[in-house]
Amino acid sequence: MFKYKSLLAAMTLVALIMIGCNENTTDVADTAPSAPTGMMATSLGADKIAVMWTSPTAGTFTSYKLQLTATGVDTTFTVDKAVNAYELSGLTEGTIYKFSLKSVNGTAMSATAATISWSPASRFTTIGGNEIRLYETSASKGSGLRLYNSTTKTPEVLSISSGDNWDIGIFNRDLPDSLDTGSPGALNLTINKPRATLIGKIYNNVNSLDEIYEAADLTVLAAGAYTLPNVATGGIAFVVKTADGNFAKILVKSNGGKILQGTAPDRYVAVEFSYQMVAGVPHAGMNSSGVK
Amino acid sequence: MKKIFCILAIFALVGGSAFSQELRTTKRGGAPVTVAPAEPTTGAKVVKPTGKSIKGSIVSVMSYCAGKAVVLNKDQASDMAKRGEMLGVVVGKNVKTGKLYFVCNADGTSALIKLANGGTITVAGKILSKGGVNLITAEHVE
Repeated sequence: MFKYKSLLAAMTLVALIMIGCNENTTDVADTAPSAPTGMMATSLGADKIAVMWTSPTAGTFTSYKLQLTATGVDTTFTVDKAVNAYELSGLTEGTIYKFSLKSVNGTAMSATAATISWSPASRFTTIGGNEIRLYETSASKGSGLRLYNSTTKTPEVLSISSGDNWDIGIFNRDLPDSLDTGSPGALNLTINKPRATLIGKIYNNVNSLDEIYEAADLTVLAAGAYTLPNVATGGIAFVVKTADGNFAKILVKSNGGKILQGTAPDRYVAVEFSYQMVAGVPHAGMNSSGVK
Repeated sequence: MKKIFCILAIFALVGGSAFSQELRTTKRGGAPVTVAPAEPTTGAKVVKPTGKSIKGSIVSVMSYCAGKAVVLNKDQASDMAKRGEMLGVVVGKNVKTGKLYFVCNADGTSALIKLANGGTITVAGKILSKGGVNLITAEHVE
Protein backbone atom coordinates (compact mmCIF):
# COMPACT_ATOMS: atom_id res chain seq x y z
CA MET A 1 0.00 0.00 0.00
CA PHE A 2 2.84 2.34 0.91
CA LYS A 3 4.61 1.56 -2.32
CA TYR A 4 1.48 2.29 -4.35
CA LYS A 5 1.01 5.67 -2.63
CA SER A 6 4.64 6.59 -3.21
CA LEU A 7 4.43 5.64 -6.87
CA LEU A 8 1.24 7.64 -7.28
CA ALA A 9 2.87 10.70 -5.64
CA ALA A 10 5.92 10.46 -7.84
CA MET A 11 3.84 10.11 -10.99
CA THR A 12 1.75 13.09 -9.93
CA LEU A 13 4.87 15.12 -9.35
CA VAL A 14 6.28 14.18 -12.75
CA ALA A 15 2.97 15.06 -14.39
CA LEU A 16 2.93 18.43 -12.76
CA ILE A 17 6.49 19.12 -13.88
CA MET A 18 5.65 18.10 -17.43
CA ILE A 19 2.60 20.36 -17.45
CA GLY A 20 4.65 23.23 -16.20
CA CYS A 21 7.33 22.75 -18.85
CA ASN A 22 4.75 22.55 -21.57
CA GLU A 23 3.07 25.83 -20.69
CA ASN A 24 3.25 28.41 -23.52
CA THR A 25 5.20 31.61 -22.54
CA THR A 26 4.94 35.02 -24.24
CA ASP A 27 8.07 37.17 -24.55
CA VAL A 28 7.57 40.91 -23.86
CA ALA A 29 8.63 42.79 -27.01
CA ASP A 30 11.09 45.71 -26.67
CA THR A 31 9.37 49.02 -27.03
CA ALA A 32 10.70 51.19 -29.83
CA PRO A 33 12.12 54.43 -28.40
CA SER A 34 11.48 57.84 -29.86
CA ALA A 35 14.01 59.12 -32.37
CA PRO A 36 16.80 61.58 -31.66
CA THR A 37 16.30 65.00 -33.23
CA GLY A 38 18.12 68.20 -34.16
CA MET A 39 21.00 66.68 -36.06
CA MET A 40 23.73 69.23 -36.85
CA ALA A 41 27.22 68.97 -38.33
CA THR A 42 30.48 70.82 -38.79
CA SER A 43 33.68 70.13 -40.69
CA LEU A 44 36.78 69.81 -38.52
CA GLY A 45 39.20 69.36 -41.38
CA ALA A 46 39.72 67.89 -44.83
CA ASP A 47 38.81 64.41 -43.59
CA LYS A 48 36.81 65.01 -40.40
CA ILE A 49 33.22 65.75 -39.61
CA ALA A 50 31.58 66.13 -36.22
CA VAL A 51 27.83 65.64 -35.73
CA MET A 52 25.67 66.41 -32.73
CA TRP A 53 22.04 65.77 -31.86
CA THR A 54 19.37 66.08 -29.21
CA SER A 55 18.63 62.91 -27.24
CA PRO A 56 15.16 61.30 -27.44
CA THR A 57 12.69 62.90 -25.09
CA ALA A 58 10.49 59.87 -24.50
CA GLY A 59 10.92 56.17 -24.06
CA THR A 60 13.79 54.04 -22.91
CA PHE A 61 16.79 53.50 -25.10
CA THR A 62 20.07 51.76 -24.53
CA SER A 63 22.24 53.03 -27.38
CA TYR A 64 22.25 54.65 -30.80
CA LYS A 65 22.91 53.28 -34.26
CA LEU A 66 24.68 55.73 -36.54
CA GLN A 67 24.71 54.85 -40.23
CA LEU A 68 27.12 56.59 -42.60
CA THR A 69 26.45 56.37 -46.33
CA ALA A 70 27.95 57.85 -49.48
CA THR A 71 28.91 56.53 -52.87
CA GLY A 72 30.73 53.31 -52.08
CA VAL A 73 30.27 53.78 -48.34
CA ASP A 74 27.75 52.12 -46.00
CA THR A 75 28.87 51.67 -42.41
CA THR A 76 27.01 51.50 -39.12
CA PHE A 77 28.37 52.34 -35.69
CA THR A 78 26.98 51.72 -32.20
CA VAL A 79 27.07 54.88 -30.13
CA ASP A 80 26.80 55.01 -26.36
CA LYS A 81 23.52 56.41 -25.09
CA ALA A 82 25.31 58.85 -22.81
CA VAL A 83 26.77 60.95 -25.61
CA ASN A 84 25.11 63.33 -28.04
CA ALA A 85 28.01 63.99 -30.38
CA TYR A 86 30.26 61.96 -32.61
CA GLU A 87 33.37 62.64 -34.66
CA LEU A 88 34.44 60.70 -37.72
CA SER A 89 37.70 60.91 -39.61
CA GLY A 90 39.16 59.19 -42.65
CA LEU A 91 36.59 60.90 -44.89
CA THR A 92 37.13 62.48 -48.32
CA GLU A 93 36.82 66.22 -48.91
CA GLY A 94 34.09 67.13 -51.34
CA THR A 95 32.22 63.84 -50.85
CA ILE A 96 28.80 64.42 -49.33
CA TYR A 97 28.16 61.91 -46.53
CA LYS A 98 24.72 61.18 -45.12
CA PHE A 99 24.49 60.55 -41.36
CA SER A 100 21.40 58.68 -40.14
CA LEU A 101 20.93 58.22 -36.39
CA LYS A 102 18.37 56.01 -34.64
CA SER A 103 17.92 55.24 -30.98
CA VAL A 104 17.96 51.58 -29.92
CA ASN A 105 16.16 49.67 -27.18
CA GLY A 106 17.18 46.05 -27.23
CA THR A 107 15.89 44.63 -30.50
CA ALA A 108 13.79 47.69 -31.31
CA MET A 109 14.87 50.88 -32.99
CA SER A 110 13.18 54.23 -33.39
CA ALA A 111 10.80 54.35 -36.34
CA THR A 112 12.52 57.41 -37.79
CA ALA A 113 16.05 58.72 -37.80
CA ALA A 114 17.69 62.07 -37.31
CA THR A 115 19.66 62.77 -40.46
CA ILE A 116 22.08 65.24 -41.96
CA SER A 117 24.38 65.34 -44.98
CA TRP A 118 27.74 67.04 -44.78
CA SER A 119 31.11 67.22 -46.52
CA PRO A 120 34.51 67.74 -44.84
CA ALA A 121 36.51 70.83 -45.84
CA SER A 122 40.13 71.90 -45.48
CA ARG A 123 41.10 74.08 -42.54
CA PHE A 124 43.67 76.87 -42.84
CA THR A 125 45.03 78.51 -39.70
CA THR A 126 48.51 79.57 -40.83
CA ILE A 127 50.52 80.46 -43.90
CA GLY A 128 54.02 79.09 -43.79
CA GLY A 129 53.61 78.45 -40.09
CA ASN A 130 52.59 82.05 -39.38
CA GLU A 131 49.25 83.37 -38.25
CA ILE A 132 47.11 84.65 -41.11
CA ARG A 133 46.94 88.44 -40.69
CA LEU A 134 45.12 91.09 -42.69
CA TYR A 135 46.43 94.58 -42.02
CA GLU A 136 44.51 97.81 -41.69
CA THR A 137 44.30 100.21 -44.62
CA SER A 138 47.06 102.54 -43.38
CA ALA A 139 49.60 99.74 -43.05
CA SER A 140 52.14 98.89 -45.73
CA LYS A 141 51.23 95.21 -45.50
CA GLY A 142 48.41 93.31 -47.20
CA SER A 143 44.76 93.95 -46.42
CA GLY A 144 43.35 91.26 -48.70
CA LEU A 145 43.11 87.50 -48.61
CA ARG A 146 43.13 85.01 -51.43
CA LEU A 147 41.63 81.94 -49.81
CA TYR A 148 43.51 79.43 -51.91
CA ASN A 149 46.16 79.69 -54.60
CA SER A 150 45.98 76.44 -56.55
CA THR A 151 49.60 76.85 -57.69
CA THR A 152 51.20 77.38 -54.29
CA LYS A 153 48.43 75.36 -52.59
CA THR A 154 48.20 77.90 -49.79
CA PRO A 155 46.20 80.99 -48.94
CA GLU A 156 47.81 84.36 -49.72
CA VAL A 157 47.71 87.72 -47.96
CA LEU A 158 47.90 90.35 -50.71
CA SER A 159 48.36 94.11 -50.87
CA ILE A 160 46.00 96.38 -52.72
CA SER A 161 48.15 96.31 -55.85
CA SER A 162 46.99 92.68 -56.21
CA GLY A 163 43.42 93.56 -55.31
CA ASP A 164 41.99 91.73 -58.26
CA ASN A 165 43.09 88.46 -56.64
CA TRP A 166 41.44 89.17 -53.31
CA ASP A 167 38.57 86.92 -52.20
CA ILE A 168 37.94 89.14 -49.18
CA GLY A 169 39.60 92.22 -47.72
CA ILE A 170 39.40 94.62 -44.83
CA PHE A 171 39.07 98.41 -44.86
CA ASN A 172 39.12 100.83 -41.94
CA ARG A 173 40.21 104.27 -43.13
CA ASP A 174 38.29 106.89 -41.13
CA LEU A 175 36.63 104.10 -39.12
CA PRO A 176 38.32 104.60 -35.77
CA ASP A 177 36.82 101.69 -33.93
CA SER A 178 35.44 99.33 -36.52
CA LEU A 179 36.34 97.84 -39.86
CA ASP A 180 34.59 96.69 -43.01
CA THR A 181 35.22 93.20 -44.27
CA GLY A 182 33.78 91.25 -47.16
CA SER A 183 33.69 91.22 -50.92
CA PRO A 184 36.50 93.40 -52.36
CA GLY A 185 34.07 95.29 -54.57
CA ALA A 186 32.00 96.32 -51.54
CA LEU A 187 34.92 97.92 -49.71
CA ASN A 188 35.76 101.60 -50.17
CA LEU A 189 38.67 100.77 -52.43
CA THR A 190 39.19 101.15 -56.14
CA ILE A 191 40.19 97.79 -57.51
CA ASN A 192 40.49 97.23 -61.23
CA LYS A 193 38.59 93.94 -61.46
CA PRO A 194 37.38 92.92 -58.00
CA ARG A 195 36.34 89.30 -57.58
CA ALA A 196 32.66 88.92 -56.77
CA THR A 197 32.66 87.09 -53.45
CA LEU A 198 29.21 86.42 -52.02
CA ILE A 199 28.83 86.93 -48.27
CA GLY A 200 26.37 84.98 -46.13
CA LYS A 201 25.41 84.18 -42.56
CA ILE A 202 27.35 85.85 -39.78
CA TYR A 203 28.05 84.43 -36.32
CA ASN A 204 29.02 86.44 -33.23
CA ASN A 205 30.95 85.42 -30.15
CA VAL A 206 32.81 82.56 -31.78
CA ASN A 207 36.08 81.32 -30.31
CA SER A 208 36.69 78.51 -32.78
CA LEU A 209 35.35 77.31 -36.10
CA ASP A 210 34.69 74.01 -34.31
CA GLU A 211 31.84 75.72 -32.47
CA ILE A 212 29.83 76.48 -35.59
CA TYR A 213 27.40 73.66 -36.26
CA GLU A 214 24.69 73.89 -38.89
CA ALA A 215 21.58 71.94 -39.78
CA ALA A 216 21.25 73.15 -43.37
CA ASP A 217 23.31 74.14 -46.38
CA LEU A 218 25.53 77.16 -45.99
CA THR A 219 23.86 79.99 -47.84
CA VAL A 220 25.15 83.29 -49.14
CA LEU A 221 23.30 86.54 -49.69
CA ALA A 222 25.13 89.08 -51.85
CA ALA A 223 28.52 90.56 -52.75
CA GLY A 224 28.61 92.81 -49.71
CA ALA A 225 30.53 93.74 -46.60
CA TYR A 226 29.95 93.62 -42.87
CA THR A 227 31.04 96.33 -40.49
CA LEU A 228 32.69 94.63 -37.53
CA PRO A 229 33.09 96.43 -34.21
CA ASN A 230 36.66 96.49 -32.94
CA VAL A 231 35.49 95.77 -29.42
CA ALA A 232 34.28 92.18 -29.37
CA THR A 233 34.52 89.70 -26.53
CA GLY A 234 34.47 86.82 -28.99
CA GLY A 235 35.44 86.34 -32.59
CA ILE A 236 33.13 86.93 -35.54
CA ALA A 237 32.67 84.42 -38.36
CA PHE A 238 30.85 84.55 -41.66
CA VAL A 239 30.14 82.39 -44.68
CA VAL A 240 31.49 83.21 -48.14
CA LYS A 241 31.24 81.79 -51.62
CA THR A 242 34.13 82.75 -53.88
CA ALA A 243 33.87 83.81 -57.49
CA ASP A 244 34.99 80.27 -58.37
CA GLY A 245 32.12 78.74 -56.40
CA ASN A 246 34.03 77.51 -53.34
CA PHE A 247 32.34 77.82 -49.96
CA ALA A 248 34.22 78.87 -46.85
CA LYS A 249 33.65 79.90 -43.25
CA ILE A 250 36.00 82.65 -42.12
CA LEU A 251 36.67 83.44 -38.47
CA VAL A 252 38.00 86.87 -37.49
CA LYS A 253 39.51 86.28 -34.09
CA SER A 254 39.15 88.39 -30.99
CA ASN A 255 42.12 88.83 -28.66
CA GLY A 256 41.93 90.76 -25.43
CA GLY A 257 38.43 91.92 -26.31
CA LYS A 258 39.52 93.52 -29.59
CA ILE A 259 39.36 92.49 -33.23
CA LEU A 260 42.18 94.79 -34.35
CA GLN A 261 45.44 93.69 -32.76
CA GLY A 262 48.90 95.23 -32.67
CA THR A 263 49.72 98.94 -32.89
CA ALA A 264 48.58 101.55 -35.39
CA PRO A 265 49.32 102.07 -38.24
CA ASP A 266 50.11 98.35 -38.52
CA ARG A 267 47.12 96.87 -36.72
CA TYR A 268 45.78 93.61 -38.08
CA VAL A 269 43.03 91.05 -37.76
CA ALA A 270 43.97 87.40 -37.35
CA VAL A 271 41.85 84.95 -39.31
CA GLU A 272 41.44 81.26 -39.88
CA PHE A 273 39.00 79.56 -42.15
CA SER A 274 37.41 76.37 -43.37
CA TYR A 275 37.58 76.11 -47.18
CA GLN A 276 35.81 73.56 -49.38
CA MET A 277 38.22 72.61 -52.16
CA VAL A 278 35.42 71.24 -54.34
CA ALA A 279 33.41 74.03 -55.93
CA GLY A 280 29.67 73.97 -55.56
CA VAL A 281 29.59 71.87 -52.35
CA PRO A 282 27.88 74.04 -49.74
CA HIS A 283 28.51 71.69 -46.81
CA ALA A 284 25.17 70.27 -47.83
CA GLY A 285 22.66 69.85 -45.05
CA MET A 286 19.50 67.88 -44.48
CA ASN A 287 16.87 68.37 -41.82
CA SER A 288 15.97 65.74 -39.26
CA SER A 289 13.00 64.53 -41.29
CA GLY A 290 15.44 63.26 -43.89
CA VAL A 291 14.24 65.74 -46.48
CA LYS A 292 16.65 67.94 -48.42
CA MET B 1 35.81 51.46 -49.78
CA LYS B 2 37.84 53.54 -47.50
CA LYS B 3 38.33 52.31 -44.04
CA ILE B 4 36.65 54.68 -41.64
CA PHE B 5 37.84 55.16 -38.07
CA CYS B 6 35.55 56.48 -35.40
CA ILE B 7 36.51 58.61 -32.43
CA LEU B 8 34.01 58.96 -29.67
CA ALA B 9 33.92 62.50 -28.31
CA ILE B 10 31.80 64.52 -25.94
CA PHE B 11 31.61 68.23 -26.76
CA ALA B 12 30.95 71.02 -24.38
CA LEU B 13 29.14 73.43 -26.59
CA VAL B 14 29.77 77.10 -26.64
CA GLY B 15 27.48 77.70 -29.51
CA GLY B 16 27.82 80.74 -31.71
CA SER B 17 24.54 82.31 -32.57
CA ALA B 18 23.51 84.18 -35.69
CA PHE B 19 23.55 87.95 -35.16
CA SER B 20 21.47 90.36 -37.08
CA GLN B 21 24.32 92.49 -38.47
CA GLU B 22 23.41 94.10 -41.72
CA LEU B 23 25.17 93.08 -44.92
CA ARG B 24 25.97 96.23 -46.84
CA THR B 25 26.13 95.83 -50.59
CA THR B 26 27.05 99.39 -51.52
CA LYS B 27 30.40 101.06 -50.94
CA ARG B 28 30.84 103.26 -47.95
CA GLY B 29 30.55 107.01 -48.74
CA GLY B 30 33.50 109.27 -49.42
CA ALA B 31 36.26 109.22 -51.98
CA PRO B 32 37.42 105.64 -52.44
CA VAL B 33 41.07 104.82 -52.05
CA THR B 34 42.52 104.52 -55.54
CA VAL B 35 45.06 101.97 -56.52
CA ALA B 36 47.63 102.11 -59.29
CA PRO B 37 46.02 101.94 -62.72
CA ALA B 38 46.26 98.76 -64.72
CA GLU B 39 49.18 98.23 -67.06
CA PRO B 40 48.45 99.31 -70.64
CA THR B 41 47.50 96.47 -72.93
CA THR B 42 50.10 95.07 -75.31
CA GLY B 43 50.33 96.98 -78.51
CA ALA B 44 48.91 100.18 -77.06
CA LYS B 45 50.15 103.15 -78.99
CA VAL B 46 52.30 105.46 -76.92
CA VAL B 47 52.81 109.00 -78.14
CA LYS B 48 56.10 110.45 -76.94
CA PRO B 49 56.04 114.15 -76.09
CA THR B 50 58.63 116.53 -77.39
CA GLY B 51 59.44 118.18 -74.03
CA LYS B 52 62.25 117.42 -71.58
CA SER B 53 62.31 114.27 -69.53
CA ILE B 54 63.90 112.98 -66.35
CA LYS B 55 64.68 109.42 -65.40
CA GLY B 56 64.99 108.53 -61.76
CA SER B 57 63.88 106.43 -58.80
CA ILE B 58 60.62 106.76 -56.88
CA VAL B 59 61.16 107.59 -53.21
CA SER B 60 59.26 108.82 -50.20
CA VAL B 61 59.72 112.60 -49.94
CA MET B 62 59.77 112.36 -46.15
CA SER B 63 62.50 109.71 -46.22
CA TYR B 64 64.49 111.75 -48.73
CA CYS B 65 64.39 114.82 -46.50
CA ALA B 66 65.50 112.70 -43.55
CA GLY B 67 68.45 111.42 -45.54
CA LYS B 68 67.09 107.88 -45.58
CA ALA B 69 65.60 107.54 -49.04
CA VAL B 70 65.42 104.12 -50.67
CA VAL B 71 63.98 103.07 -54.00
CA LEU B 72 60.40 101.98 -53.34
CA ASN B 73 59.08 98.75 -54.80
CA LYS B 74 55.59 98.42 -56.25
CA ASP B 75 53.89 97.32 -53.05
CA GLN B 76 55.53 100.03 -51.00
CA ALA B 77 54.80 102.77 -53.48
CA SER B 78 51.20 101.73 -54.07
CA ASP B 79 50.46 101.48 -50.36
CA MET B 80 52.05 104.88 -49.69
CA ALA B 81 50.09 106.38 -52.57
CA LYS B 82 46.99 104.79 -51.09
CA ARG B 83 47.65 106.55 -47.81
CA GLY B 84 48.33 109.85 -49.55
CA GLU B 85 52.02 110.02 -48.64
CA MET B 86 54.19 112.30 -50.76
CA LEU B 87 56.32 110.54 -53.36
CA GLY B 88 58.95 112.01 -55.62
CA VAL B 89 61.52 111.10 -58.23
CA VAL B 90 65.23 111.29 -57.44
CA VAL B 91 67.60 111.66 -60.35
CA GLY B 92 71.13 110.42 -59.79
CA LYS B 93 73.00 107.30 -58.80
CA ASN B 94 72.52 107.83 -55.07
CA VAL B 95 68.88 108.26 -54.10
CA LYS B 96 69.90 109.80 -50.77
CA THR B 97 71.82 112.64 -52.40
CA GLY B 98 70.36 112.91 -55.90
CA LYS B 99 68.08 115.64 -57.14
CA LEU B 100 64.48 115.36 -56.02
CA TYR B 101 61.60 116.22 -58.33
CA PHE B 102 57.99 116.60 -57.36
CA VAL B 103 55.62 115.39 -60.04
CA CYS B 104 52.32 116.99 -60.89
CA ASN B 105 49.80 116.86 -63.67
CA ALA B 106 49.64 119.57 -66.30
CA ASP B 107 46.79 121.22 -64.39
CA GLY B 108 48.87 121.39 -61.23
CA THR B 109 47.11 118.55 -59.40
CA SER B 110 49.09 115.81 -57.74
CA ALA B 111 50.33 113.05 -60.01
CA LEU B 112 50.89 110.76 -57.05
CA ILE B 113 49.06 107.89 -58.67
CA LYS B 114 51.53 107.90 -61.54
CA LEU B 115 54.30 107.06 -59.11
CA ALA B 116 52.43 104.22 -57.40
CA ASN B 117 54.25 101.48 -59.30
CA GLY B 118 57.54 102.27 -57.61
CA GLY B 119 60.94 101.41 -59.06
CA THR B 120 62.46 103.65 -61.72
CA ILE B 121 60.48 105.94 -63.94
CA THR B 122 60.89 108.30 -66.87
CA VAL B 123 58.78 111.43 -66.73
CA ALA B 124 58.54 113.80 -69.65
CA GLY B 125 57.10 117.24 -69.40
CA LYS B 126 57.78 120.80 -68.38
CA ILE B 127 60.41 121.27 -65.69
CA LEU B 128 60.16 124.15 -63.22
CA SER B 129 62.74 125.01 -60.59
CA LYS B 130 62.58 127.74 -57.96
CA GLY B 131 64.05 128.18 -54.52
CA GLY B 132 65.56 124.72 -54.58
CA VAL B 133 62.22 123.09 -55.40
CA ASN B 134 62.09 121.04 -58.62
CA LEU B 135 58.82 120.23 -60.28
CA ILE B 136 57.99 118.38 -63.46
CA THR B 137 54.55 118.33 -65.04
CA ALA B 138 53.95 114.75 -66.08
CA GLU B 139 52.91 114.89 -69.72
CA HIS B 140 54.15 111.35 -70.21
CA VAL B 141 55.29 108.64 -67.80
CA GLU B 142 57.13 105.40 -68.55
